[in-house]
Amino acid sequence: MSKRRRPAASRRLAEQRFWGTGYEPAPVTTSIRPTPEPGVLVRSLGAPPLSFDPNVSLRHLTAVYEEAVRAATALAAANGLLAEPEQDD
Amino acid sequence: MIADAGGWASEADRTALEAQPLAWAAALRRLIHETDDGLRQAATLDGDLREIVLADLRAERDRLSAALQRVSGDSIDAPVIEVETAPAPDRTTGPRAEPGGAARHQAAEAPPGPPLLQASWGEGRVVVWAGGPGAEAGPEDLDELLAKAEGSGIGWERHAPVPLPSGAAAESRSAPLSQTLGWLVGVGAGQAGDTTGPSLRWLGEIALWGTELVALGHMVPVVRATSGGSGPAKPGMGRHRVRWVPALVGRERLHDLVLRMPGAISALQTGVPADAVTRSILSAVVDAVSRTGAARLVAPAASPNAATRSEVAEAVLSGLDGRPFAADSELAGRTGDDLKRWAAPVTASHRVGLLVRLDPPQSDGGWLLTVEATGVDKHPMPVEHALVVASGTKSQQVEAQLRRLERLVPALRRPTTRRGQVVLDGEEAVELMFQTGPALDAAGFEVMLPKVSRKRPTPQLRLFAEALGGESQVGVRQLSNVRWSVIFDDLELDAAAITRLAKEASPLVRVRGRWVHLDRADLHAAAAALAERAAITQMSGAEMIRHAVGLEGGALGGPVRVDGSGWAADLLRGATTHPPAPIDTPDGFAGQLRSYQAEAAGWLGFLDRAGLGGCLAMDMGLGKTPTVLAHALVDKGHGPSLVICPPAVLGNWAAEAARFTRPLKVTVHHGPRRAEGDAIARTAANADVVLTTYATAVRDIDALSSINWRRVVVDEAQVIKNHTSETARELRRLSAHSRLALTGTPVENGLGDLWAILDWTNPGLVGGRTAFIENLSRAGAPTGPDDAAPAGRRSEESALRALNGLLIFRRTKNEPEIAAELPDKVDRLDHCSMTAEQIGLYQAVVNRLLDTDLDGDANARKGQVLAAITALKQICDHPTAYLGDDDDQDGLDGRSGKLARLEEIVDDVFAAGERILIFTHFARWGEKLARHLSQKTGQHIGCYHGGLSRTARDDLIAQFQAGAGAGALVLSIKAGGSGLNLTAANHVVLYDRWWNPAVEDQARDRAWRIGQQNTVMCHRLICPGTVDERVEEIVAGKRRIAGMVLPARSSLGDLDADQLRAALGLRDDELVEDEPSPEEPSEEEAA
Repeated sequence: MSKRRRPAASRRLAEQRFWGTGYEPAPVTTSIRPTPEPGVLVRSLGAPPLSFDPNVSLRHLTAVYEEAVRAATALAAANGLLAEPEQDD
Repeated sequence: MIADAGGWASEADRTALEAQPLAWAAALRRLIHETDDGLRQAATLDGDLREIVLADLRAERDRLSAALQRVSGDSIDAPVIEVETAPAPDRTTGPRAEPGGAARHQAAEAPPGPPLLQASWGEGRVVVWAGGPGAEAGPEDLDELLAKAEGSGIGWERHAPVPLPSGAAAESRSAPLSQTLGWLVGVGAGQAGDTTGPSLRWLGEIALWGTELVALGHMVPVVRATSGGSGPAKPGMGRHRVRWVPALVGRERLHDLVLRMPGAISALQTGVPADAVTRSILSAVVDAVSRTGAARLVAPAASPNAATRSEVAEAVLSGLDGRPFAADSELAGRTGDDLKRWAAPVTASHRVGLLVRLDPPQSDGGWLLTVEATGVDKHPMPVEHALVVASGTKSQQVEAQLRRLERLVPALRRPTTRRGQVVLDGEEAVELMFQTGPALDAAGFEVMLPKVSRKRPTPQLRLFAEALGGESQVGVRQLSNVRWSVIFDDLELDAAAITRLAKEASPLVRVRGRWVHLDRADLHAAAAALAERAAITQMSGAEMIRHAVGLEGGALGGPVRVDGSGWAADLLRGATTHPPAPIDTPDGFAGQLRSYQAEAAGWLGFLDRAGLGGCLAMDMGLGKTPTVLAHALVDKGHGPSLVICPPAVLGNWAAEAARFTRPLKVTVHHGPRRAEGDAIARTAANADVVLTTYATAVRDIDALSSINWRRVVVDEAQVIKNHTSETARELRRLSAHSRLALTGTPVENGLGDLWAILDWTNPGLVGGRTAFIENLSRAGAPTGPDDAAPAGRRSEESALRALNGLLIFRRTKNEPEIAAELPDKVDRLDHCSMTAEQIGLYQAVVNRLLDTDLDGDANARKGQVLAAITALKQICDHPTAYLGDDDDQDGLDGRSGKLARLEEIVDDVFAAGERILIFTHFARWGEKLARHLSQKTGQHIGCYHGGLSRTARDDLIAQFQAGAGAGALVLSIKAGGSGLNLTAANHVVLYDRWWNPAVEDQARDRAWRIGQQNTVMCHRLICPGTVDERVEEIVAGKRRIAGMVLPARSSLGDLDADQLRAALGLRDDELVEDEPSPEEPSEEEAA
């Protein structure tokens, strides 16, 4: 079905897409569970390739990760999205 | 072909088609399938245009289908498009997925809706505007929609209009993403209401996801060239900045967001694919949140112009908050490339992953850790195998992931026969299961570990009993063989198992399918506790009960659990594991038991069955009396109950029995005309409940102790708290199936009170007084550094908790479920005794009135009668109130039944840490009363009356209201009975009565008013058989005085001598005479 043959329908489809008329939001993430170890990703990658004392750069980077996770946690908490602490079943 | 199907083809066209019929039919079939695809696509749309598009396509298909039928005789089934005739569509939610995955859509064409708050993305800014299909919106709509979505507080700036599909443009505002993040996450969480359009909700969704990624630590820094910052760069130098990008991004989630991105999002970025727009926004969110965090740290100093690799590295580390920095462009580019390669294992878009699996030990005792690769083949495969069989790129990806994993689990680097497989010892397994495991998950690995319990198991000493001696020795003396063990939550361990585990570095045990890590310190403590008791192999029932409630010393920080068979084990099971059920309100009980009263009555039944005594310790006002009466009604026919109480509540017992339990035969054994000697037994035999006072019970103890009572109840049991007093000693002689003590304050002065009560209810069961106090005091040790409760208070609470449900039934008004059931006020009438001095004075005043010549004029007579009534009321209050004695406060004791009752009430209120108002008509008496109570309680208690200055009165009220904890205030009813707000108090005593009930109610309402959080207990004190009771009759609206009905307009001046005697004189049959208590030693002497 080419545009040439049905310009009106095509235009209407484009409008639908623009407005997102068929938009269905994903189920709202009601709980964000912050990582228990913010620096684990960096630790898994090893010291970053910076011409610097690897221990110092790793330590500073880990500290930044901790602060970033804290900022995200605060944002989640302010919107009531923090998950309850994990419990045994 | 299209023209032919539509009926407007020329003859030449048709001839050309007919020359190739097979190709013609094939082409028609292809076109029909294409149209069907279009129909399916259109069916997933929603809104007013859907049906128009569907109608167009259906008409097209019909024409093609007819042509195919004509050319080949074939037909193709049309796709099934579900049509739903529904109300106007909800523009805010769109279609919902139905079970089975089919989307249902509304067929009715909806009219253009109101404008919604929409969003676009442009150059790192969030652009908001108002619009919707067919909606026309103005600037005021945007303001209103922003306010409704709670987005007005953001510093929005004017922005270029957003082009719409209609050709029009919407006025817009914009703000940097960082300023809108908090709001957008709220939108994503569905908190912005129903006036937000799909584009804004989509943006909220992505903001929420970006926040979640940072919360998981899923981001890495990269270096980008930028034009930001200030100052000219030197030759070869450029400006750069660190940008945070998401890592370990879920492919499916990203793909889903791309598919659902409304075109409005990219209205300002024509030609950019949805995939790129989505990634760009997600990165921007991750960058903004990460930079916020980084900015909280003090960055290391860096060179203003980084010219060496080391300086560039410093600049990168100090610029993690996103501030631009100047650096040699080539070196910065190289550093950026290095960082990109470093982060590639977590940023590259590939399906390769690793699965970490830990298997519990087999016979060799080791824990097998294996690593499998996923995304290489259909099923996970051992990582060593994957490294060999995977293609070059995939093999590199597996290798990169494995290296990441090895950094987190160093044991994997141990030389083994197979890479990705290693045997862990217990300590390593514990670390992996309890610490590293969750971190591996956060680092993006799939983890399959045995289930663990993260809760630290609490050890408890267990005593298993096997009764000896059969049925003949049932009760506290029954001997049992006992076996000791320790339970860690659900796991029972004997001494041998504990010793073995205590030797392990990381003791692990499996309980109900979960691995539990035992604390070695707990194991050592458990081993010591078992060793201490190894020699104890036999015990009596009483000893077992004492162990169970913590009266034989603490073990492992709590009471001992008693299981097995025999009297004690059965008893404890009946109290704890299978607690007694609440009773149904018994037949013949007028009214409805509250739920806690029904529970209490169920517990009383348990005591009867167990042959135990107990302490019903419900707070004042919770209804101990009707609860006991209801139980007596259930138990009717099993023998008489003897209730012993202070004289002030004797009448209350009789009144409540008459009100609630009419089927019970209740006899009052009190006063000079009570039964004596053998007659007492005959009276008891014919009664269900015999009511008496403490003094009478002691006086008649020989006769009363010869009766086998079903139960003996002592009300206001604090009377027996001094166990060496004559009352307590004599009452121990009473023989009963069970003994019950009633009190709202079981530990008024400490644990010694509780011991005295429990030792009376169950002689010998709770052991000696000293050991009882010591053991329960130890149990009340602080729970932590924040436990600021006084040690004594903690011990008392701990003791009540330990014994609750077994020997004590404790309920307080502060328990929310009880507070919910309570009425907001409880009015209670307390019958008070008269001392001999009061009776003598009272009689003298009445006699003097009657001896006076009453033949004078009516007004004079009225004055004389009123003066006499005032005098009589003062005498009922206290002889001092009438005589106007000097201010010797010591002289008030023992001269008034009302004052004695008031002191009991004040004691209870102060023990509960609450506040009380005491109203009297006599200001001078009020002052004396306040001084007396101050002396008794050790707290200053003021008296509010009209003789004080306004300032002094205001100060009194302010101090009372502002005070915390126990407190009291005496008020003259004239000055303080109205207008004041005294909600700090939740107890009111009307010490003397007034003719007009409204005056009394007003006084009570000083506490019972808006702002009062608790049930208000109102006590009205009266002396039966006196003018007090006549007042009560009038207050109760009966208008009957002394057996005669007063004419409607009668006056006191009209009454003759006989009538006056009947109205004001003492009634011996109703009078409660004071019974001086036997001399009691002090508490110190008793101890």
